[in-house]
Amino acid sequence: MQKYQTFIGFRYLRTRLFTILSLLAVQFCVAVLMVVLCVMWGFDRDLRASIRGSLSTIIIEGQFGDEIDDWEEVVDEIKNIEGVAYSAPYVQSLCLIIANNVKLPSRVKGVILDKERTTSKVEAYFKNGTKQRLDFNLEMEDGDSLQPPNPGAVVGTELARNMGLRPGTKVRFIASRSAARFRPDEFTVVGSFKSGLYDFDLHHVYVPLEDAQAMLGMGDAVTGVSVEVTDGASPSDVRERIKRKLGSICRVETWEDRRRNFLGSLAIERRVQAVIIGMVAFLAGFTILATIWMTVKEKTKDIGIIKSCGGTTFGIMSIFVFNGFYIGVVGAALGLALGLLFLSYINPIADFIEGLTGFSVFPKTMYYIDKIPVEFNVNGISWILALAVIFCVVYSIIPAWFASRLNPVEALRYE
Amino acid sequence: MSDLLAAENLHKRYFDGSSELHVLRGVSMGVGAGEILVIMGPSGAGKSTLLHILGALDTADEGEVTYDGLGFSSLSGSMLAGLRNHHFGFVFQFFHLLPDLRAIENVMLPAMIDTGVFAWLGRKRAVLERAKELMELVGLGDRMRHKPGKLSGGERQRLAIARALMNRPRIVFCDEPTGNLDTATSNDIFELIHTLNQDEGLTFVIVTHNKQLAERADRVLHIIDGQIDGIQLEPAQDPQSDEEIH
Repeated sequence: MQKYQTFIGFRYLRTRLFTILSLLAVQFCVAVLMVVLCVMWGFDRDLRASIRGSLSTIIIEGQFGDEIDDWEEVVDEIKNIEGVAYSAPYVQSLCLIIANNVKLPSRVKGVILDKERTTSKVEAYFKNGTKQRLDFNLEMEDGDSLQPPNPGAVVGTELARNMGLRPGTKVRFIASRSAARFRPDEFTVVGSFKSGLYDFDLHHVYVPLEDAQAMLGMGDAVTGVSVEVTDGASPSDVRERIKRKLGSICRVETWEDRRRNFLGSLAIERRVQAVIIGMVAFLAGFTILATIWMTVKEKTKDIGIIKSCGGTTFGIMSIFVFNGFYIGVVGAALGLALGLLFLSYINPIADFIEGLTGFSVFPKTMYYIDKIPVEFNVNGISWILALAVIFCVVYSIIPAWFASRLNPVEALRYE
Repeated sequence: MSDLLAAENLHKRYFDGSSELHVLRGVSMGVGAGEILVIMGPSGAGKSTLLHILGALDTADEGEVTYDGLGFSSLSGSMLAGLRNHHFGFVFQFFHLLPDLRAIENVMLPAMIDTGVFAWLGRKRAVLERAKELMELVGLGDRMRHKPGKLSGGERQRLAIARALMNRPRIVFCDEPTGNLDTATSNDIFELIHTLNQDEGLTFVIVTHNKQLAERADRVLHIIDGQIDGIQLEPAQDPQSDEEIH
């Protein structure tokens, strides 16, 4: 690499409006791609979480929806299986929740909290809501815990907001399992939980396992057993081992098996998005091609001059490729900064636009997520930056090659 | 004395659609070391084309140019570029300076082309000194940081001459160096060329219409219709032997 290649390359960048425009073009392309993809990754993550809901990594339920009569035996059977870390029994049923003369459908889950916390994020959900302790007692303002007269229920924050539920509010459930089993026992709301997934927070209620069993008339039986796998274990491998151990009395599934349809459509959507974004990036790269092409056209005479002073074909080519590389690197860095800045404030910006125009940028009831989700995927962002630089270099090679082939005499005559 | 630069039976054709323009029709000539050779002739006679081929800026369709015994046809593109960088200098009618570079940077260009990025760190000071020296020599000592656009025509041409001299070439090719300048400025340029020829022993090959410049040349070569019409020894140098060789 000779001195003039970098020197003239830099000088062209410093003195040209085209350079500034193409830097801005790369910056905006990178920033827009980053924002779109980080939000999409965030959506993907939250949508998967939303689709997963309170499902544990592996779910063991009775075959054909039967109850599991002796869950402790099941837990004993599986606890030594390689890859099984924790297990927790649960009872789950669709119910109508009735309070303050309002009825709403909800999914009531009866759990043993000490076990449930090992297979789901229930502890974090409680802490994010108003229920600070992992129990079903009422929490007093002075920090004391008070056992309510009726069994306690922890409701989702959105459900609490919609029905006006507060700690101490009495609620009743009508279970869908069987009207004959319906017992008009009342529960007392002892707090709310928040998962951040709008749909989950609107339709779920946690109650103690034995009270759910009593309400549903199930005796000691449970709906299923949640299983959490050890770090690094493959859920599908563990599923197979459990299946072999339990035989056909139970249905064993990973949460992804259970939500296969949703996840399938999500995967298709992701592939379509990848194709569209690839096309956008490809087209955006043409701005670099056009810019460098314009530079070559404008600098045709310079190319003749440099050649007359001894500049080589490779030397001329590298001046323009260097330009493309520089635009790629600096544009990508500026784009990264702009993208990170925008993503950091994406929710305040959405709120600001909503306040200004009244137009709801992100209606949470539509997306089942309470704020615009963002996932800073370092790998993905690195790919965007690398592709921006690669596209800029590749697109600059074409005009640079043409520039380098120019006959010096013709280039000098060019007006 | 053998020629420093020699051309043998040069032919050059241009094609415009189906019509052919035969610009050079078998030109043979030589340039001796340290001489000023002027090429004259009417417009379209092929003077500039000949100059470009002699300076390795263009290639002939037939024939061979040899520099110091080295045939151009045996050299690769990058070797020819090296020749233009180290051994030849060029001065054009329209100056052809890089508008984005300052005056002194234009002068330094051939040295930058000759030097690697890392070697430049060690060589920069010497190059800068040489460029300043050349700018003083051509009378532009106070214009070093100006962009070419801020200089007058005469100043630009002197700057182009300084650039041509940067790498201490043996031959400077000038294509109508005064074609765009007024008489007084043209005289300054003649003077500069003459001084460089006398003091530094530089060889000049000059295409011009300017008779005054031709009068101060060692030899004048006339080209008409792509052929050498005659070589005239300059009367100012040898007024008694005003011979023409046909």
